[in-house]
Amino acid sequence: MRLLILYSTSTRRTETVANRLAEGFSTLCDTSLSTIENWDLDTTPDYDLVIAGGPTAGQGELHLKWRRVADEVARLDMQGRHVAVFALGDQRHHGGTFGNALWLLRELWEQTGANITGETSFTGYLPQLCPHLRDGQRLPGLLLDHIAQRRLTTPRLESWAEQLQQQFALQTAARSLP
Amino acid sequence: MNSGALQDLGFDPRAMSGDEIVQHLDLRIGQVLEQIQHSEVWRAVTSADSPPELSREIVKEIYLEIVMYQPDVIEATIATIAQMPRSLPVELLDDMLHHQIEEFDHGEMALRDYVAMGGSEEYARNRPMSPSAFSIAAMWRMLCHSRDSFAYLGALYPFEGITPIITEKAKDALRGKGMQDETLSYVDFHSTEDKEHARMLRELIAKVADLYPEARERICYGLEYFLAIYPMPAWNAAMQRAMERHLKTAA
Ligand SMILES: Cc1cc2nc3c(=O)[nH]c(=O)nc-3n(C[C@H](O)[C@H](O)[C@H](O)COP(=O)(O)O)c2cc1C
Ligand SMILES: [Fe+2]
Ligand SMILES: [Fe+2]
Repeated sequence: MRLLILYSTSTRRTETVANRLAEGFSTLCDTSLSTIENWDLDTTPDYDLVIAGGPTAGQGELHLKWRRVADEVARLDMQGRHVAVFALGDQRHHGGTFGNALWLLRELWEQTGANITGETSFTGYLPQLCPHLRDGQRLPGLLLDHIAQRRLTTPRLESWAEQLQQQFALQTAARSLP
Repeated sequence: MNSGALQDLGFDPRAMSGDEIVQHLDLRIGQVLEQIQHSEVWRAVTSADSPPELSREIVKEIYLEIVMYQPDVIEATIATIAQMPRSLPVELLDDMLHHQIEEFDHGEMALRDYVAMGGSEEYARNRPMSPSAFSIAAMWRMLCHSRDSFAYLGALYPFEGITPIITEKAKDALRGKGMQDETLSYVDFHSTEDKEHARMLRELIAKVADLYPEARERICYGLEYFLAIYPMPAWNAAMQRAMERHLKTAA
């Protein structure tokens, strides 16, 4: 299986997450990692699974680097391919729009015809700070808060990686992430 | 109220509510935006008949101004926040510091755009501070030096209130002048992100002004202190440097 991890970042938190995912998958399958602005999008359909991530920016918007390529991404033909999305956000300072990029990334990649995978649930977050989210509701991908819940980043990341590795039959006896 | 304060501000903010203080700040920013849009710099950067090379050169020099003053502004502001009264609710302190975290690397963002426009990193980092950048850095350091911590909130207003509007208005014109995405990160980023910072700052100012009556005058002063030296002096200095180079290459 060929895996591609695409991400954007301003202050490198998303980059750290993307690097850790790449490390975890690279022993299990052919893994490529790139920032979205340095990626030649035309080659994207060569991959079986794309993991696409970025921070939530502005007032609940996609990060600038994703916005700039959005039209180009939407035109890709990813029929028969899989895409899993992840996003970062900040419940404490941006609770009202926490993690919006996750839904926006899903919407974007849905337009390519890809099968969107990697759902999780809004469990263990801070619902009292996020009036738009209900405790326990489904999330279209992995949502991380590396500000208010930094300590949960590693366990959330590990369990999501494991979920995908199981789904794509990539499991080995070894731990899913270094 | 001190008669000097009444003279400087033209009104007595002591009896005003937090929301009224914010309304006043918004009104002042509206006046400044008017001035900006009637300025020579604005015309030179955005008007269809100004030479594109000159527009680009001015933006590049504005980036350089930001590179020069931004590290001092951040450093002094974080220290100023640390001088807040110990009675300040800790979640407000968290918001103030968090905002500085979100601004922390913006000098570097401006530098990347400057370099993408052909500027030299070595030169930008080592050149003496321009007088206009120095006065900006000095104002923020003076707020800290005089322990005028509430004033910092008003002084932030020109940054957070003007930047999103100006960058939004300018970005299409700049693309029309041939500026590429790699040189417009600062502009594109601030046209969306600073809307959120302005909202957050409004909320913060209203809360602090309601909690601390003595903060009201200081917040209004902070705005005026900063407006005395920003944005026009920095942008005019940028235009001056750009014009000199433009004339030299044209000759
Ligand atoms: C200006 C600004 C606006 C933000 N807006 C949101 C938001 O609306 N919702 C949210 O959940 N997080 C928001 N965040 C938080 C970022 O998503 C969070 O800091 C993230 O970890 C940044 O990732 P990065 O380090 O990869 O750039 C914002 C951050 C900044 C700097
Ligand atoms: Fe900024
Ligand atoms: Fe800002």
